[in-house]
Amino acid sequence: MTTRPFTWLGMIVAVGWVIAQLRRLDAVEVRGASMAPTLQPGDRLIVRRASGAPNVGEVVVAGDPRDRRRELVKRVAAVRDAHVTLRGDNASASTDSRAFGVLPVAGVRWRAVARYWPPARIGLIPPAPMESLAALPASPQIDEGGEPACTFPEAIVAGE
Amino acid sequence: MITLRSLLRPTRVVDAHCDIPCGVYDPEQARIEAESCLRIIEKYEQNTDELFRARCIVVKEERADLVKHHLDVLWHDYFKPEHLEKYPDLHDTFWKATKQASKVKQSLDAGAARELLSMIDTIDEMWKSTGGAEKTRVNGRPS
Repeated sequence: MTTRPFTWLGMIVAVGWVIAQLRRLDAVEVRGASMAPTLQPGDRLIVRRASGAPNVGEVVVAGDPRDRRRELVKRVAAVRDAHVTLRGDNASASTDSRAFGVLPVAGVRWRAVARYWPPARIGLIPPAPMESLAALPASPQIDEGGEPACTFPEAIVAGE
Repeated sequence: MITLRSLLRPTRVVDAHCDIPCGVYDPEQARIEAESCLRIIEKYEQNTDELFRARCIVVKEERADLVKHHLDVLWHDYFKPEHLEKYPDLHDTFWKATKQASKVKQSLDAGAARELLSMIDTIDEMWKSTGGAEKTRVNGRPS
């Protein structure tokens, strides 16, 4: 009988912990095809609030450095000096760090955990396997001597 | 009340974003202007009226400039580093094609204009093989 208050306390703490964890989750919908084939337009994801630096290979949601009203979903291609390089899986149809450069780690707000819609493709969003990342530049400095992917002023204005 | 439906409703949209260059630019723009240059040079050759010939030169120079503009935009906005990996001569091809457009602008050489068309066709092949046509063309036009 004397342990009963402690059991209640334990349950309250446990429920509180669960609620706290749930509050760190959110649901988002993907627009655009730059993360194909991993993510398709219309996919719905559970995301978890990011704390600390993301890992290379993770799919994350980050603020668009060029347009604060927009959030981007991309994959982390590199992490260096508290900055991340983002890249779309569908690299030839993606505006990412090749266009806007690296982001501070704090710019990464959420990590993609799982897809819950469409039902046929419910599942976790795994980090990219290392071999697929090997093709990506390890350094955040990508455009050495090359042309930035999108520099034409029209491109900057382009929203959805 | 919290329902399953409200839990599953996304709170916002996140962008797997691609700027305008995905699915907007088409080498056909450059080709149409280059075809125009060739036809204008032919008309120039067939006509002796000085005023007409002067106008031909003016219009041809405008069109040749437009060729360069369209090729430039295609080069720095459409083509991306992955495309360069696939076509290591991409930069060289564009450089030579835009130089050829300058040549067409400066001269009245129909051969130079034909050469420009074939260079644009080379770029067109690169563009098509990187999926440009599927992303850009509406109802498959122009084929």
